[in-house]
Amino acid sequence: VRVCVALYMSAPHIDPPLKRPLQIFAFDPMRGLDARNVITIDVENEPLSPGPQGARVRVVDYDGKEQRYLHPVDLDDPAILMTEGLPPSESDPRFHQQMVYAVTMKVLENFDRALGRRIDFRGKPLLLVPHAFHGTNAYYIPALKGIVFGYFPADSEDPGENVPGQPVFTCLSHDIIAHEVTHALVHRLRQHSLEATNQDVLAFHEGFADIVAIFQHFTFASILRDAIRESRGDLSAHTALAELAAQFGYATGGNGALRSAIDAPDPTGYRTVLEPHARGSILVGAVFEGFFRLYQSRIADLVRLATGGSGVLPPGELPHDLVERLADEAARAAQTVLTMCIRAFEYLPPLDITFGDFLRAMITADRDLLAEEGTEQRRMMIDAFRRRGIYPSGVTSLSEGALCWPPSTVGLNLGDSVGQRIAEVLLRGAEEYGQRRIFQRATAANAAPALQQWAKANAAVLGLSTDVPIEAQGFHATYRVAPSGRLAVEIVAQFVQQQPETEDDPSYGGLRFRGGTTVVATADGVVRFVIAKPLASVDRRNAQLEFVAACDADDPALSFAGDDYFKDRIARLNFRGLHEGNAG
Amino acid sequence: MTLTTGDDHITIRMYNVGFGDAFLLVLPGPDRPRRILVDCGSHAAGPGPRPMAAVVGSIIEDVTDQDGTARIDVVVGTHRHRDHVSGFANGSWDDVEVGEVWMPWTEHPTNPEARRIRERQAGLAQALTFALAAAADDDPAKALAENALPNARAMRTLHRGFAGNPKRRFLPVKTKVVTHVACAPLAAAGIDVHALGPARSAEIIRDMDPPAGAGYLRFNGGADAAPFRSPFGEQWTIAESALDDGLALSRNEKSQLAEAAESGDAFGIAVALEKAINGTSLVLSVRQRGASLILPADAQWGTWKRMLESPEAVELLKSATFVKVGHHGSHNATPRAFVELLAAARAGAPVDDLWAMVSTRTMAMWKQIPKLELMTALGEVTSQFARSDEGDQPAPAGFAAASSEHIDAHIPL
Repeated sequence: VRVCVALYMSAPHIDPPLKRPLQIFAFDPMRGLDARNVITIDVENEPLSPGPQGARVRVVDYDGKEQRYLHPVDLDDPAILMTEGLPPSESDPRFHQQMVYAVTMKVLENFDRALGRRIDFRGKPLLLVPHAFHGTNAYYIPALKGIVFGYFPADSEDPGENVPGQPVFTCLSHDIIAHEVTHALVHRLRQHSLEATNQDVLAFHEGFADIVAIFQHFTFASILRDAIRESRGDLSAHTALAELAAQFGYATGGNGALRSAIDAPDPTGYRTVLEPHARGSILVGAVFEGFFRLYQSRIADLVRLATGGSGVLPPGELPHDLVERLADEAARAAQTVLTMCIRAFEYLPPLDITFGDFLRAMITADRDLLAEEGTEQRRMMIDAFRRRGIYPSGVTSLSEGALCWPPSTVGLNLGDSVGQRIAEVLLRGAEEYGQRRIFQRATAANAAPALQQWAKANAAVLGLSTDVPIEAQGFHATYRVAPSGRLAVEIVAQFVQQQPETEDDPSYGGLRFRGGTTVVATADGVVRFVIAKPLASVDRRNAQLEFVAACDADDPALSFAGDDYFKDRIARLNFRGLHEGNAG
Repeated sequence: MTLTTGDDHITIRMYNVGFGDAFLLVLPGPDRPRRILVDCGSHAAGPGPRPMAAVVGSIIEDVTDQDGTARIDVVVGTHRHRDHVSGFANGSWDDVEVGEVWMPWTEHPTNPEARRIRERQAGLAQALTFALAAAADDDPAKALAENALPNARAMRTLHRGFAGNPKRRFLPVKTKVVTHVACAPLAAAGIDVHALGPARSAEIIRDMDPPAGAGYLRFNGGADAAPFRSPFGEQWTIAESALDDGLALSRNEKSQLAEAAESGDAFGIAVALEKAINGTSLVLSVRQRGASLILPADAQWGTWKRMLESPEAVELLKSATFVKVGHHGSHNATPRAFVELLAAARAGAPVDDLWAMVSTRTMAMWKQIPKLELMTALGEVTSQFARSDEGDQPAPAGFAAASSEHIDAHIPL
């Protein structure tokens, strides 16, 4: 590891800067090299070696098809430091390496900020391979803990705005990078999130990854200002910001961007659309509607002020100051909603996630931190979900109170057997988050025996079964500051149980039947929420079996494939297959 | 010899074509019997005991009137898979007088949506066959791709052939789940026909659209197989030994990347294409007095789901006295919910008012067709259940005649 600021014997010490500016394509190369597409983003400044290779991210430019390494970029090279990174170029692979690194770091930063803790990949950095293979695909491989990006020639007959046959790099699409990194992070946060136990599981993965990718557009100030100016403040009319992966969509012979966040709300879609990307788009549409309405309500006063009270903007260009203020509001609203979405993770069950669980987690997390201050944004979000027919099971109404997870009232305290470990995890979280350094993880592994003992003793109220081993899969502290200035500190633990024998039962499609519980507690161990998917639930088990049967009914491969396919047909669903199936 | 029928029943003849479909329906009429031929084809990899030309000869003989002219009121080409239409490539159809030819709406010659679907399906089938040219003949993907190739000669017969200048219909003409087909010669014999699919809804059309398959085909001698190489020349290559610590990949990482670089899944694409074309299947309900025939061709789950959600369609399905088992008995062409519906309509006890026929044969490469569990479940609903490849065994209960060439059912009116 090299130090990026040289030290001289007598000179006063200069602190390394907190941020490292790097140039990227805001969207992808199809929009060209003008200022609306080439932007500079600030990412955390960490010690880097060529690759780039940092504490959480390792870019290795290895071409698996041609079996060779490409020269790695050294972002600490003075020539590169002075120009805010290499300028965008399709022909210099080192820019590609820089861009995957920069966009990945930006996504990590968004997760850190929302979760109030520093996410790492359990000690081993995330591997990013920008030119891994020839193909119209890019995907996360859990076993590799890495993301592989393909490259391919643009469609020879219908390339859109690309030149027929020109090389198209998925690693130069901001959206594809952000989408795939989000897959990796979701899998990091919920290690069973790829087990398709209901029709929402994979759709949630896809939808959530699109949400992060598209919302990140709104954090690019110059892009946002242009969009506000062009659309005269009506962001719902400006599609570029809400579109995903335009070049990829065109280059593979489609008629436009791969997907868009702007949908026509259809209350039947949630019942009838099952393909994971299309179903995920329902989630994206809901979250975006929540965002647009929040933005509109926040700018209403600005528009009245700017129009002498009429609220009707005059024709022509908007005044510069108004554009700036509207852009600020849009960026803030976008950050609010993105943070709401990511923060929901702490309140999600460990597995078997549905869109309804996500809505409940999002509302609970937001109310927990913001209380009354967030009433408006929560109401808008609930309404947007309702308009798409997304109703969580087991709630009596869509009021905020009914949607929040019920607070635990039985007086559980994690401190009973985990006391000392809580202090450790609090300290570690504070150090990591405050000082931006990775320490040796004291980790869930050390605390696991005590946590498991505690869970066993309280199994009944935690929705766990006593006759099956309990595994502690997560244990961490989160630090967040509420707008009121209050510091909110929470301890979150996850417990998972499984029945390995169902793996060999064909009606489960190769999956182990699992149950699990997320426990949210205060800093002194008082349990506030118990969010359970019980192993013992007959309804859950039946629902999972019905889901497998429904997949089978629609799966023509079962007729033609051999026994190998049949054995693990549900367990083998993966991102490679998901993304290939929908590449067009 | 002409296949006849009585005034009290419909005769249904299932020809043994191997892995394929050919059903002749003869229904009584006041002046003359009405004849409906549903499909005539066989899979290249699953031929029957007789060559297709011999089967075609038998069918034409069975529909030849005493004046020596072969006549069929309606020929139905349910979808363009080889195992349903290959027999129509035979030249002897030119002399058969046909009243009407019915095909799914996706066969409409000028409808833009229909053309787009056909072109995409045909393009993918051709590219896939080309890419798999070197594969063994019993490669499951290759067999599927070849079955999906456009059957130009056979389709020409359906679209422009036959004697008698038949009227062509592309069904259903409306977007409703159940659409009445107003066909005067059939109506005159009290025969009521409804089309139940393929739907013209976005959801079903999505199922008919095969995946692009681009990732696989682009790099495997597919449609546009220009050699593609990395645009970064040798000057960008760096030796592993020259890399900084921690950058070089482990052996395990490299092997995972090698796997990622292997081109995609020909079998997956072939299966998706198979489903897309099956999804265009024309589904018919044919009723005459007390008889109710369900002819679902190879309809897939999307079409079935839509039918099972429509009360009007469920009424027709429930009333069935004859079922052609879809797609040679595979699991996803006859939903469990439909079998349960039939069972419930009969209060669960096997009775003798339902006939079922499946045209199939076992294939070494597709062990799940026909699906054993489905055959058993159907057997529990009705004991009158015949397989085309078991005609040489004693005729199953309730069937009029059986031989290795065909099996006849008499469905009472």
